[in-house]
Amino acid sequence: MSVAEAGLAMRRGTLTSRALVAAHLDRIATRDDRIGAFVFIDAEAALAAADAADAALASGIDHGPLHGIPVAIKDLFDVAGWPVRHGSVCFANRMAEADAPAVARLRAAGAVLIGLVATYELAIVGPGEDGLYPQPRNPWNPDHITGGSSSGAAAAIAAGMVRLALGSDTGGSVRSPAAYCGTVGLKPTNGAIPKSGALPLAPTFDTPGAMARTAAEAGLLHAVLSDTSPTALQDGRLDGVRILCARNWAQAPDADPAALDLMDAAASVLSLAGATVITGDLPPLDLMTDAGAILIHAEGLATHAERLKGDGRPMGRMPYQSMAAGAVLTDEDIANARRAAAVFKAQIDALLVDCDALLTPTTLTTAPRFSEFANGQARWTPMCTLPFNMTGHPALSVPMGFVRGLPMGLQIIGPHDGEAMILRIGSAFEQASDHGAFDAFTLPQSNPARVNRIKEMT
Amino acid sequence: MERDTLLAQLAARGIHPVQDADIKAIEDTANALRRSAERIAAFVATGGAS
Repeated sequence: MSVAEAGLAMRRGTLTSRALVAAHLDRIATRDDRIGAFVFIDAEAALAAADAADAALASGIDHGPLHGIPVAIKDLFDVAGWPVRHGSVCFANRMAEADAPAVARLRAAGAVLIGLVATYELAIVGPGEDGLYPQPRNPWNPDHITGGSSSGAAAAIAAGMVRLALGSDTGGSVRSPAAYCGTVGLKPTNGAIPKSGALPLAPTFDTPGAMARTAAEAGLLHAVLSDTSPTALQDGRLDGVRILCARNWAQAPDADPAALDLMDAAASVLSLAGATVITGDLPPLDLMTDAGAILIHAEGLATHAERLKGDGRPMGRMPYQSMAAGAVLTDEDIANARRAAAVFKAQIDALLVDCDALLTPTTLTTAPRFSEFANGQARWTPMCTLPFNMTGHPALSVPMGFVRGLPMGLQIIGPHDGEAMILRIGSAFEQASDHGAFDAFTLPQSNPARVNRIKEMT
Repeated sequence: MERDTLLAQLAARGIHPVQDADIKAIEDTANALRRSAERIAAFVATGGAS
């Protein structure tokens, strides 16, 4: 049942928020032992909030589209009275004292906060083996990672345990797990959603973001988080919309060839929906990633300077090793990276004068296996997300198909404050394709023959 | 990058890795960052022409 369907049923009196929340809790109880997405569940508070939502509706108070709807929160955002520990032994005994502003907006919108979902340690890097808790399994194949750092949010949505979650994205932490898990993630324009009350990493890159089953639902969540009006997604037609398909990024040396095939197929789908799709090149992905990596490491080192001292313990080894390396960067390196970032931003802005949006794959491969990270070994996973944290442009990831049984994502980038357009394109793509139509648990049980057909399509 | 140079740069910030695995992993990432910095310096030197 979609968020819109649940909302309609509640307003018609055929569903209560309590029943909806109880059903979510039951599903989490039956599925999460195989996934490990949730790290804290506050069933009592969630049911009490659901009762309050039902009472409010009964008395004529309607807080809008998220009224009575369950939402999960990444273990990075403060929720008053909850053990928000950022996935790290460094914060093992921490309890949040007040709601982060983004969380407060959810409460004010009538959403029911159901629990905390896992993050890679300190939202830096993973999947580490020595964080506060084990990292979730990819619902499409438990031998594979979910991606991160919003690992639990994507896993919970992909496993059908919740439809909405609050994540955060510093270099792709909303979009890459969404892509790896076959769900939707929106990194909005930098600054669109307040980020205080969440553990920082790289302050000029950090961006809270909506994670959801569909683009339409991501739009509803984003509207609440950004205190803006929900986007009207229209009828799935894209007449008059111009989209640049950046094939050069999909042809990077470390890309799975399927990334280009799937993106070309997605471009065809969008063209059939009425969009004018042209091919073109973005600035070099490797250079943009170089500049972004320098700035993230420089800012991350500053953020965690005190925790990194000595041998950094009790911080896990993977984030320690990654952030400590930033010590080799000089002031000149950082200044050069900021100059380069300004050039790249201007180049992307120029492309978005003639086009409404840009297309790239979200990641260039499917989710790697856990075994590739054994013994805490970090590994580069090629993706196309970091450049837009650096330039600040909004970017949406929607499912674009399966490769060898694992999902990949399509990234849609828009101009600053252009969330409405990229959500419209993402929604139109969803309506014209069925890549995100099922969760990883429902699909195999409902029709195995169809699963195989869908999962193997490239 | 020479390991002694790396350890000195870390020490200047109070960072003192003890385990070989930590030092090796930091070294790998540090070398990657140095290569990135060199490429970006070259890019900036050309006035941003890629």
